[in-house]
Amino acid sequence: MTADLYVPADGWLHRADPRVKFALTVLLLGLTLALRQTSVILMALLIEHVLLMTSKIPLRNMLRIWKMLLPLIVMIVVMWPLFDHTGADMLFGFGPVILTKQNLVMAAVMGLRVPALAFACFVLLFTTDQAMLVRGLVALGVPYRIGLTISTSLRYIPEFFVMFSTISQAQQARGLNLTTGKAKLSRRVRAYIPVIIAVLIQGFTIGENVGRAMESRGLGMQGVRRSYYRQLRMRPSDWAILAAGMLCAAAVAVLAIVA
Amino acid sequence: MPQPAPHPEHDHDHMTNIIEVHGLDWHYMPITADGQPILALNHISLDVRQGEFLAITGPTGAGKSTLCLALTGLIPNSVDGIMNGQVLINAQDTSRVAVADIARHVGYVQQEPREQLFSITVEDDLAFPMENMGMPYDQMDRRIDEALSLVSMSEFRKRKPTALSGGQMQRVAIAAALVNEPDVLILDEPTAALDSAGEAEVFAALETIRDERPITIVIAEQKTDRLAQCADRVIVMDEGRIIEQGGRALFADEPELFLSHGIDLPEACEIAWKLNETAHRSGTADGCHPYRFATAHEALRTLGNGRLTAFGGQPFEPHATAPLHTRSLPTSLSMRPGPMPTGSMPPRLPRPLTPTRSAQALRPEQHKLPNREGQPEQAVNTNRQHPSHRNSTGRQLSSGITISHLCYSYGQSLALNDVNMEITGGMFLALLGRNGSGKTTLAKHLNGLLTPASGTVTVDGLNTGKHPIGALARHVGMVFQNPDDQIFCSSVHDEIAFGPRSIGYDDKQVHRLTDNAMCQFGLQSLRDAPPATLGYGERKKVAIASVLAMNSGIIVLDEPTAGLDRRLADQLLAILADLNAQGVTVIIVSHDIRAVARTCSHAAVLDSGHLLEFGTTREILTDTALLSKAGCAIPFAVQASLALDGEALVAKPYEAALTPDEFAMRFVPAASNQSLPNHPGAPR
Repeated sequence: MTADLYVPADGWLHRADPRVKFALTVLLLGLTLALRQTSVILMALLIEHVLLMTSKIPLRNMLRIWKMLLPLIVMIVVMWPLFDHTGADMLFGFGPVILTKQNLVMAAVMGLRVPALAFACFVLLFTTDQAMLVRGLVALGVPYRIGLTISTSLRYIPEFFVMFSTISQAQQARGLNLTTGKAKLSRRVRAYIPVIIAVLIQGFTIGENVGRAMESRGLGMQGVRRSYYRQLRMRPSDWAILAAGMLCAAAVAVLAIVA
Repeated sequence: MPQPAPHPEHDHDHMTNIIEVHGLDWHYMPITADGQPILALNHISLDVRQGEFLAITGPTGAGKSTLCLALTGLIPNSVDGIMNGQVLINAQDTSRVAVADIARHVGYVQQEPREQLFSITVEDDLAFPMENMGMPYDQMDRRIDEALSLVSMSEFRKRKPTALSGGQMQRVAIAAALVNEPDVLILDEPTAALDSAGEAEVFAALETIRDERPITIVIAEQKTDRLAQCADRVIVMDEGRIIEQGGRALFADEPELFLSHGIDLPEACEIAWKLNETAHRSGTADGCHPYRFATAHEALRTLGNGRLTAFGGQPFEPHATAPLHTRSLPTSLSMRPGPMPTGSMPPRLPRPLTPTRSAQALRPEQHKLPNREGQPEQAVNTNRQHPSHRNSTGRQLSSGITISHLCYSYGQSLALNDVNMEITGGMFLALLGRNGSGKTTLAKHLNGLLTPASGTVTVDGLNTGKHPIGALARHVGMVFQNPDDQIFCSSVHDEIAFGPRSIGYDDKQVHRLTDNAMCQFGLQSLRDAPPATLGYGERKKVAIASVLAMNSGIIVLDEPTAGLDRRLADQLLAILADLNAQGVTVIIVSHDIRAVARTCSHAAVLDSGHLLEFGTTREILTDTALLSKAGCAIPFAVQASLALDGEALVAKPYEAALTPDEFAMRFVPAASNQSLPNHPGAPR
């Protein structure tokens, strides 16, 4: 298990500057959150899929996300009419369940908003590897130390999971009872305390050693301006994508508000 | 502010001292609030010349790692403690210069590869030190290329570090330490976490580096076999002090120095020492040159010159020799149960596996180095359905483990492929093979931590797939490689008591088992100490004691001697051998082929999930082709036996000596015609 959602491929979006991709994601998120019109949400979904597909992301990655989100979407679509009773064209009414043409449409829109938001993030996450993500953040002004913390965390999160699993096994081999499936949640959590303690102790040691490795490789050298191996340059194509994105977003927003 | 350059003392070749240590004392800050500062380095004075290859040896806890930290500037800048004295690196005083500035001249490689590769790709890890120095892109790119080719890792440039093997990761760590073109490279037990293949890779990389660059190398190591071949100078540390310094000939000239401090000798030197010892004891030393093998190469050459003859010549088959010290052993013999139920024995063995009977223990007078050739077997009923036996200490012995057509996969990759094995009670079994061959996966099936994807594992009549881990924990105790995976209590006593209490012993029994375990490992004085504050060797003892206290009939240990010096390793192996003598089945996963040769009765060799061979230690360790194929080291005593010429010629590889002890017992100088009095190896 890795914390990396990156899908390697040779697509145009993969090659784009991460800062531009951040901007696209923010624009899409903004539009999807601020506006409720059906056309906007559908437009956003369409754009996101087109962006990903033209950048050679395989269909199955996108379908997997849809599959994961389906329960949530269904839940929203089903629950929405229970709370939103507006709408003139009533189709069905029974107690608290009032279905109108309007609130059904709204239910669909709210349900679809979830994948629209998710895929807005995946436009960035599928096409940018972790190192470039952090590099982009730092280029946007995030301090280097925070960027280093983020990338180190992404690097070691999977190791923590493996460590947790190994330690669970080691403790179970000593008779620690972790399979109290039927017991209360608090009891189950308490059973894991020895494992958590051991994970914390080891995590601390690892942190110390990683810190020493970083220091012994010159982290924090004074009087020197840090350079970057991964180069970021806004090429004309990057500016073009940015401009196009902003124009489209503006156009959609205006149309939605006016219409 | 840098100090002015010191006056060079030894100006032999007009080489300067790149490192100078003057009267260095270091105390770590106490771990507990009311404790005392802990002395780690005691008045160390040392000069390292430019271009030298310096090896630092010493037992666990001697201060090797602390000295390495002091040479990087991490001590005193980043580690809490009290320092006296001075360390000058390239004429810079480490207490006055920031670690980052010292890092321009010093590269540092730690034990654990995973903790040194913290970036997303190999490339990024190598770029990190150069980015910190503000280097321009083109220069960085070029240096990454050079560094990777030095360690032969060029194809892995874009890979994630987590996808690499231990040896590969460690080589990348070395490359990252070299990328700033430092004057000194410091390595703190770089091969401790690696298998023999990884160890070979790292030392090969160091040789290449020495050939290509005029770099000074300082390495702290337990694996003295390698050091004997490449070090210019060797220092021996113990208890924070430098006991002795010398050239690499020190291993051959003063073997007792190393052994008395608990340090492992290169095997060739151990053979020479044992041969000399035997000669002295039997009075045949006069007129003969004492043996002296500085390197394995020299040993093989000398032995091939026909100076030795076989005395008795019989390989140590336990039933052929009388035990050197008496012990009450069950005298009933038992044959191994017949062919496995499905009739699928490992195809290459033409004969049924020989039974192991009485034990043979050799205890050289001067050193507590127990050597074992075979292990006793309790009278075990061949019918596996029969309940397991109890012996006098109340421990239930195992009736055996049967592994039948075991298959297991991690995700897509097949970790175990149709493994069949019969482990009878009382065996001392070693699981051998590369990292990734499936040894640990197999071990985890023995107590139900993993259940087979197909096939069955039956322990003492219980199918592991059908019983919870808690039930199986009463039969099988498992010790993981990293003691910190199993330590979480606030005192040593509680830690050891946890196991027996969990599996259901009452308070009185828990008390007795805990006390026994603490006595066995000499932990009584640490009864109330928090285990997390102890040194590595002691934590390992606590972890193992806490599993042994569970009083199970089968004990499985993953790399029990990893990271331990020779003395601690021998103490531990002696405890395991004692347990085995009482009938407990002991199974170890190990790369330490010399320890396996000394203690185990049987061995199983795994390669890519397949069981290549299963047999007695003698059968497996003398099969050099098998060991090479599986990526295991070959005991040097075996190689030496096979190299013998003339009258001593080993007729069949099967008859090679497995350990230096056995070698010295069986092969004596050709010049001596006297019969050695009461020689235990003689079947007269």
